[in-house]
This record gives sequence, C-alpha cells and structure tokens, in this order.
Amino acid sequence: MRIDNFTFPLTSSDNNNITQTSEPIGTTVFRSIADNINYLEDFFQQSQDLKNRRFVFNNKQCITFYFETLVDQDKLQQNFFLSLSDFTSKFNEANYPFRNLPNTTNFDEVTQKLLEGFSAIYIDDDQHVFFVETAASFVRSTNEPSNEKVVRGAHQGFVENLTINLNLLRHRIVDRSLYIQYITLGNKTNTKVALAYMKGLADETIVETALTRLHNISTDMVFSTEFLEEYIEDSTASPFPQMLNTERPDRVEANLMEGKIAIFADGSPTVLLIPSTFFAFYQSPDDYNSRVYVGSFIRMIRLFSFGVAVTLPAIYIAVIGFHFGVMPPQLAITVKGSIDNIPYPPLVEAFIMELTIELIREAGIRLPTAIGTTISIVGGLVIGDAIVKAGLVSNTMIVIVAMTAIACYVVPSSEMSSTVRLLRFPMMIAAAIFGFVGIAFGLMVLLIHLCKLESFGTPYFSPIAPFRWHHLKDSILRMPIWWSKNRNINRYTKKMKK
Amino acid sequence: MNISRKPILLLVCCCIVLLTGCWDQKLLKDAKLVMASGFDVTKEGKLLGTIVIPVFSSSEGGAKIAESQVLSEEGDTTMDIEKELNLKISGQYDASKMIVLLFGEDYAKQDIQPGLDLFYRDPRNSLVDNAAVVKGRANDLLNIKLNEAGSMSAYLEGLFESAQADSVIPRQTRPMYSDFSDPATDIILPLIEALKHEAKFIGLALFNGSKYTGKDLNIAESTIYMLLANELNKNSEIKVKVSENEVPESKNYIYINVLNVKRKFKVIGQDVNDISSHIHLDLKIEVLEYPDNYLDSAQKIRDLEKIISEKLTAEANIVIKKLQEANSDSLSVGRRLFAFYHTTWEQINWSETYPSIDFDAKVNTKIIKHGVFD
Repeated sequence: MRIDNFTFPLTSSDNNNITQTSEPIGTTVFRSIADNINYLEDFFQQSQDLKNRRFVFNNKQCITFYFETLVDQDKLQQNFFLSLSDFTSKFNEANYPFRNLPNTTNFDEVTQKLLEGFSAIYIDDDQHVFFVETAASFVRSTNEPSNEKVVRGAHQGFVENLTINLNLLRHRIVDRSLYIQYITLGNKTNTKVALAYMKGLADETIVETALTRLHNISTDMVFSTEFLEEYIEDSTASPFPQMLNTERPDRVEANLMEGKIAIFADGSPTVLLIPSTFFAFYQSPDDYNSRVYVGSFIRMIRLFSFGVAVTLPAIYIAVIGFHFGVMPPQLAITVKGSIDNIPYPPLVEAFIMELTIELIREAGIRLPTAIGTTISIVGGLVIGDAIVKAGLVSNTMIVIVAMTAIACYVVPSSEMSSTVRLLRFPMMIAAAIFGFVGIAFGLMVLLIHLCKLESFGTPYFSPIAPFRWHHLKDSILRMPIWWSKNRNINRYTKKMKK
Repeated sequence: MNISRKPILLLVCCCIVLLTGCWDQKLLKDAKLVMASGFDVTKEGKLLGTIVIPVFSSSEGGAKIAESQVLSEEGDTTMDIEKELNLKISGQYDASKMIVLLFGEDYAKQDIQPGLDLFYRDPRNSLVDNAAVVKGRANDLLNIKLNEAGSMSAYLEGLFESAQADSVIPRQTRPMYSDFSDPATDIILPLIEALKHEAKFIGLALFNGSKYTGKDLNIAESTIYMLLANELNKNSEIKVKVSENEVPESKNYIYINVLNVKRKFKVIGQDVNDISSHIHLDLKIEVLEYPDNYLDSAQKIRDLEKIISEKLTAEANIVIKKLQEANSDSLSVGRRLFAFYHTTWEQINWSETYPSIDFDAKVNTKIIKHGVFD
C-alpha cells in the first residue's frame, strides 16, 4: 500500500523552498489522483509520517492520506474502511458512501484538516476531497494542579487539551450566555486560542481590546498562554503580573461570573483572566470554601505576607545599619551578640543568604523528587547550620531570610510570588543606602506604580486606588458571600446585581 | 548621539545613588553599647564619668552577657568624657541603649542639668528611662562585684523594674529635661545605695529644680508618696502599726496591699496670701498579713479600717511636710495653680511660696479582701 519510492535527501536548497511552497489561498485540488499525490507530498516536504493507503472503490482508484502521528489507526479502520466494505456489496447511487462526509475542493482546507488529524480521501477523476474524523488524542487526566492546591474545594484542573478545558467550563456554567470565540494564532504553530466570557456580564469594550490585541500578535509560535500574556499585557516593564493565571476551573468559573474574560490556548493548562486587580492574586477558592472568620484571617495573613516578603529584610538591614536605637535594649543585645563577628556589612550578608535560598529553590524545582529532598536537606540544614557556625552569616539573618522566604510562598499565585521575591532586592539596596528613608522611598515608588498600573483599562490597585469602600469587603477581608449583593469587579461589569 | 547618551545617563544615575556611600551608616556591629553610666564629681571639681559596657559571648541559644566592662574617665563635660572613653574602647561609643543613669550624691547636689544636655540634644541617644541618685559615689556602685551572673546594667535594670512594679519608685514617663524648664513642678528620683555585692533602693531623693536637696524619703514614705502621686503600679505593700502592746511584737502590725486608689487633688488659690492644697485618697485595700488574726466581724473590720486610715493620714502628712521642707514640688501643686489660678500664679514666686502653703492630705481606706482566713 505504501509508496516508498521517493527520493528525499533534503538539500539546503530544498529547505529554502519552504517559503516558496506555501501556495496562495484558493488553490484547487487537481482532478487526477497522481497529480494530487505528487502535489501533496511535495507540499509536506515529503514528511515521513504522512502515510497513504490506496484502494479501489466503485472501480475508481482511491487514496486516503493521513498523518500517522495524528491519527488513531483503529478509528480509521472502524469509521471508514469497515463501513466501506459494507457498501461495496450493495452499492447504488442513493446510498453513495461519501455523500454525508464533509468535503472540499480547496487545497488549503485539505492541508489544514490533515494537520488537525483528519484523513483525506481522494478519488480519481473527482475534484472533491472527503474527510473522515480520525484524530487521536493523548491527554492526561484532569488532576489537581500542583501549584494551586486547596484544602477544601474541587480537586480538578485544566489539562493541555483545549476541548477538554472548555468542556470542564461548560459543565460548570450551564447557560447560553457563556460565549466562546476561537482565534488561531502563530503563523507556524497555528495554535487555537479561545476567548470565553459571559455575554451581558463582561464589558464589550474590554472584549474588543482583548481581541484587537490578540489579532495584532505577530509570531511564529504560541506555546503557552503565559507566552501570549507578554504580547497583550498593558505594561511589560512592570514587575507585577497584570493577568491572573490559573489552572483551576472553579477559579475561572468564579471570575467569569464577575464579568472577567478567560483566555485559553491549546496545549496549555493555564488560563489567563482579564482584567485583574492586585487583590485577585491574593484570593484563593479556599477562602470561599471555609468559614468567614477563617477565610478573612487567611486572606489578611496573605496580605501581611506581602508586606513581610517585600520589606522584612530591608527593615532588618536598615535597623542594624542605621537605626538600632529602635530596638528594645534586650533585643539589641541579642542581635548584637549574633552579628558581632560577621566580617561584612549587612547588605552583603543578606545577599549571600537570599541568593543561597534562591539557589536551593531553583535546584529543588529542577531536580527529581528524590534528589529534591536531598537538596532541601543539604540546603536547609547543612548550609543553614554550617554557615552560622562558620561565622559567615548571623543567626538573626537566617531567621529573617527564612521568614521572608516562607512569606513569599504564601501567595496563592506563583506569578505574584516570583514578583514579590524580586521586589525585595531593590528594597534591600535602598535600605542599605538610606536606611528607613530608603525603605520609605522604595515603598512610595511601589505604591505610585501600583496606583498607576492598569489591566485592560481597569485600575490595577482597585479597590484601594481608586478607593471603593464596598469592594473592600471581598478584597482585604472575606465577608459573608451573601453580603455582597453587587458584583465585585468594578464599574466595568455590566450587570451589577447578582 | 541620543543612543550613546542613554547608557551614560543610566550610569550617572547609578553612580549618584551608589557613590553616596554609607556616609550616615552606623553599624550595630561596630558599636559599643553603653548600657549604664554614672556621674560623680571629683575633689578637684572635675566630672568623673563611669560607663558599663556588656561583654557578649555568643553561644547556642543566642547571645549571652557574661560580664561587663566598667570604665571611667575624668573630664570637664559629658562630651569630654565620652571622647576620652571612645579612645579606650574597641568600637564606637554608643549611648542609644543606655538604660540606667546614676548620679553621685555630691554631683546631684551641684546640678544634674548640664550633664544631661548631651542625652537630650542628640536624637540617637536614649531618653534615660531609669535615673537614680546614689548615696555615695556612682563609680563605687557601678564597680560592685555582683553575686549573680550577668552584666551590671542588666542587674540594675531588673532592680528598677521590680521596684517600679512594687510602687516604691516612680516610673519615668516624660524626659527629666522638660521638668527642669518648668518652674511649677520638680522631679523626684530614686535613691540607691551600694552594698558589698549588690545595690539597694533606700528611698526617694527630693529635688528642687535640677538640684538634689539632700533630703530623702525612706522606703515606707516612698510608698505613701507614690499613692499621693497617684502612681500605683502592680501592688503597693504598706506596713501599718495598728496596736501598741501586743506580745509578741509582730502582733502589733498589719500588712496591707493597695488595690485601687481614687485621688481627689484640690488646689485653692484665689487669695495670694491663702493658697491651700488638699489631697484626698480613697484606697481599696487587701490584708496581706495580720498576725492578730480576728477579722470575723464587720465591726472589727470597720475599726481596723479607721485605725489604718488615721495612721496613713498621719504618714501622708509627714511626707507632704518633708516635700515642703525640701521645697520640692514633685506632686505638681504649682502646675494646678498655674492652670486654675493663673493671676495668682503671676503674682507670686512659687519656689518661695510653696514651702509655706497650707497643704494636707486625708486617707480613707476600705478593706475589700482579707484572704482566705475567716
């Protein structure tokens, strides 16, 4: 069946032909089957996984083309060849077997369908190409995402398959106003991107903006939604993520119901939610699954952790470098006792320890679990203990750095967590140069930036700036759900009442 | 042109920030923390300063103060002494953590204000929470070889804290310096004495302005004074002799603890020649110890309350008399006069008038607890 008599040592000149072979849109399929075979195999650079199967039907030469790597061979057999064999016995014009199959005469469509996993059936002397759906899909199960674990709540997560992801969402929002729009992005990868939002809730102007920005993307590949993020965000220079990304269907559901827009991309389990505010990064489905007091308490701890993670090492450096008068005498004695024999200034000491922690963290992520444990023991215990005994870093600095590191990982979003980790370095430098004044200036710059930042035209630091009293109850605290009668996002949501 | 300018501009910005260096940095590890100091006057009339620097030894479980380094130096002013001392110690002299400041008796009698100038002028310095006058020389007290481990400063701080909790000495709530410039009030400082291996509070030193008058209140009077000043802290234990001829002697006494003080402080001064002041104390007390031990009837308790009230009234009046004799207005009668009878205040010289005003006290007690006996 296979035709293997092609010569294909690809020369460099052939490689250069890639751009030339992309045919103008609207090329039609040839009538002669031989022409078609040649044309198609040339079009795909004689790729070795493009297979064909010849057969005779109704006394005509037929050939079916498919990508062995995309197609489930069993499906092809079941869906097409088996039913065909039924027909050959009692064939007539009325039940012509290809009649109900999708078909085209456009060559571009043929190539497109082939790449999506369809099998294309050419019949000699017929300009129509018929398609049989034979795509094979290998997907992992919808397990809970490991970076967004919750104690209580749904333990389901998105996967790399767009259809399954949208299926999960449709199962959660059973309403006709859930609207999904597809866009294909990436000149070479042709990745399917889906925009999902609630019609009537999401602000159309934001949808428009998002679509415009997505359409304006000019790139060869889109390998993840995070990759898209950089193309469409408002300010790439900002350290803060302006789009919430999540792998949790329940989080997407809740955000869509607040009038936000979700961006899915095929091949990526992460969903982007726009527009986002700073406080959205500090919310977790856990908050709403636990009691009001617990939810509020945990959320306040998280916001407190932001302050700790950004400023604690800086404050410590400022105190021991400039203002040790602010410490109570007993504390001053303890701290002085531990730093008396450190051979360098506090900033250097802090950097050594912070960078060590970052090294341990990075090494821990990359290594397999078994070695990862070893690394954390070596890093945590051996370095932590030995570095103090050797007199390279003080005990108090270890405590400060450890607390900061823990505070960083409290943030439910890993994006924000890395931002926070970065922010403390400029703060530490400012503190080492100007003391508390430096910290004050650093925080001022940070606050100004947060207030000015926008996500798709909506203020990022809402409801603090601009200040909205009523929205505070779901951003800093977590008040009873029935308290917030109005939708939480902001004036951009169309229907306010829930 | 523009392209090359950008990185240069960035470089300049970095340099401006980084080249400022650490000109105002003051590293904790380079500092020598002076945690207690004392002032004396030498025979030649020079100032003798003594400082205590704790010596650390870092160990498991944090830093420990094993001992303290005591240094002294003579000079003309406080700064002079500080400069001289700085040449002796390995590190920067730093008084921001000074928790105890002692004045020798003779030095305090001269004037304590000039020596304090430095502490209040430099914002980095501590505001001196615990100051006291030493019966004798501060230098001798700071050089005591303590029986207990730890530094001299930590020992003295503990001593102050426990005495303050017992309402024997006042807590310092505002800087002494502000009281020096106020003619309507005077400071009062604890009086401390050096023993062989420890130090002990022996009462309160009465000041007139910034000068020690040489007159003191003993511990029993200090306790009463603290009630008059409405500065009851955690507890205030007072011994009262309630009978005369019981045998054994201990049966004559009752020990009470004051649980609650309600003070009415009245100053009347319409007439320049007839300024009077009256303090009325309502005390709710608890019986701590009463060897005579018959508190079974209400009548008996009422009698006891009456005797205690009388005795305490008498003692309070003695305290007030002593304050007036020393011309030390640490109860701030002047401030009330200044506020409520300002025309009178302007016509008089308070430091001359104060010793002769009509000033008395009345104490009322009520026993609300007498333990689990009876």
